[in-house]
Amino acid sequence: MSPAPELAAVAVDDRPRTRDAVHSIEAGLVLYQLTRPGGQVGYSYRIVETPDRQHALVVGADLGVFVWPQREVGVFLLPRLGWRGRFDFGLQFEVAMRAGLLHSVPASEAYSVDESGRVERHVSGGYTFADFGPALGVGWAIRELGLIPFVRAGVVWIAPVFDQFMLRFDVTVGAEVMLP
Amino acid sequence: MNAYRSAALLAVFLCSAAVPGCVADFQPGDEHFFVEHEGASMPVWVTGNWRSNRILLHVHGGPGTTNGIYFQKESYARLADEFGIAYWEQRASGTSLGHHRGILTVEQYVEDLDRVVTVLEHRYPDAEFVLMGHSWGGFLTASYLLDPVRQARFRGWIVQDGAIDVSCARLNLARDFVLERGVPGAAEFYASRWICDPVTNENNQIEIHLQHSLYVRAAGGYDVRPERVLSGDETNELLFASQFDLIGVTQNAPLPIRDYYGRNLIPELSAVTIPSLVLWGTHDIITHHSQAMEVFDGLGASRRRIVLFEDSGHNPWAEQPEAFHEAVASFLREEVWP
Repeated sequence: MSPAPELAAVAVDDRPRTRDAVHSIEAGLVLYQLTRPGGQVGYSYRIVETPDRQHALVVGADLGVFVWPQREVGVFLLPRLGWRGRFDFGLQFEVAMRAGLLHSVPASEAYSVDESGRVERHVSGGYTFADFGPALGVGWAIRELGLIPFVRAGVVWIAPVFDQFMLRFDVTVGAEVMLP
Repeated sequence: MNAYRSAALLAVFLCSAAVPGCVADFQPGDEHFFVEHEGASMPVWVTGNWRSNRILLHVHGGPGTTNGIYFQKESYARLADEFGIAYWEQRASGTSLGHHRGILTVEQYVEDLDRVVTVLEHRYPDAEFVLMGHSWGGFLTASYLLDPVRQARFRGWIVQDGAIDVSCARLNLARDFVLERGVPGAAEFYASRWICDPVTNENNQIEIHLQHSLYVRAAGGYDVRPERVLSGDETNELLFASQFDLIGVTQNAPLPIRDYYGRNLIPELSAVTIPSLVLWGTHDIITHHSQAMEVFDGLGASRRRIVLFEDSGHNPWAEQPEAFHEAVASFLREEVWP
């Protein structure tokens, strides 16, 4: 007769999923240069965090698009690395450095003229620029929903724009969803 | 499940919250396109009464600024009621797109302008055009019109406070003005950095013209009342509700264009024979007002006018908009399209 198995002590973590997840996705409305509307989706991964999970080093990337009517359609991919800190009651702060690419396409019909003076109408292929800069954010974790609405504001430098670094501002309003 | 439900709600919210694009300066019926040439995509905004088939091709100053500073003013708005205006954003200026400047030359800008004219003629085959340039745009349009074949594509020329004479003799007048006014720091700047030989025209303006222009501005050599040129409301519109880009302007201007500084086109203006209008603010120091009469006298055109604005500096279109409008509109009605 074998001895009765001992009951193992199992730690039950009853904290909301919001605090457990290391992966998250997000979506937001973008105001590029504050006036050019667009949208973006993103992914984040907490690669290192403190035992109490209040501080984390987070990597991620955002993919977005904005429209400047008649002037420009921009598509950007911005990988980021940053810190996120969260209070127990839900308030969250973040700071991140972003570096990626912006592809800008003229948003109207384009013409070129060949050497013989013939006019050709075409769709412009646009220009790809390096795109980098910091962002600051603030959010609030709604644990019951597993959702963190946030606002981020940042600056990016785009280069080379005729051999210059061109300054742009961006504001994103959105929400992060912690994945199970 | 909460996470998935939240994600779905978020997606619905974002899709329903489409924010319409808002560019206040585009009016119904306006047209917009790009001219692409040698690595640059240059916007052209055609506004106003272009269906009249009487179109002003506007060439902004700088080099490297934008048309954004002009269109808001009563002077241009009233012109647009009667005529079409095609605002061309030049290479490496305003909202034009491109990666590299390459070596910027007057010749390159003349070539760009030629392409823009060709596209305009293609899009508006029944239209007639008048070329209109301000400041650096005055130099560029004059350079263009010196070729008689190109000149024949226009019915008239309007030059306002044009940098027609950028020789050192003329540039030194602005330097002397600043020194007379005793602007702090200017004496050291002009003593240590300013090179502009009035005999040989050897100069280093490409390196120092921005600082020079700031000293001229500080000395009051741009405008009689600067607040008339760009108000707070207009700045806000340019930043938040416009197709133009003030940040681009501050980054770019003035551009380092070779074969520009040190030149004087006045002796060549006899080649310009189309109806011409010369406009100048009598307080303009940066494109010194002393050249106004010389430009007028040098023209080869038999139909020519000059209007001097006594209460304006470099930007009479902003400081005296009514008088400016009257000068341009009457010239167009009486000399170009009688």
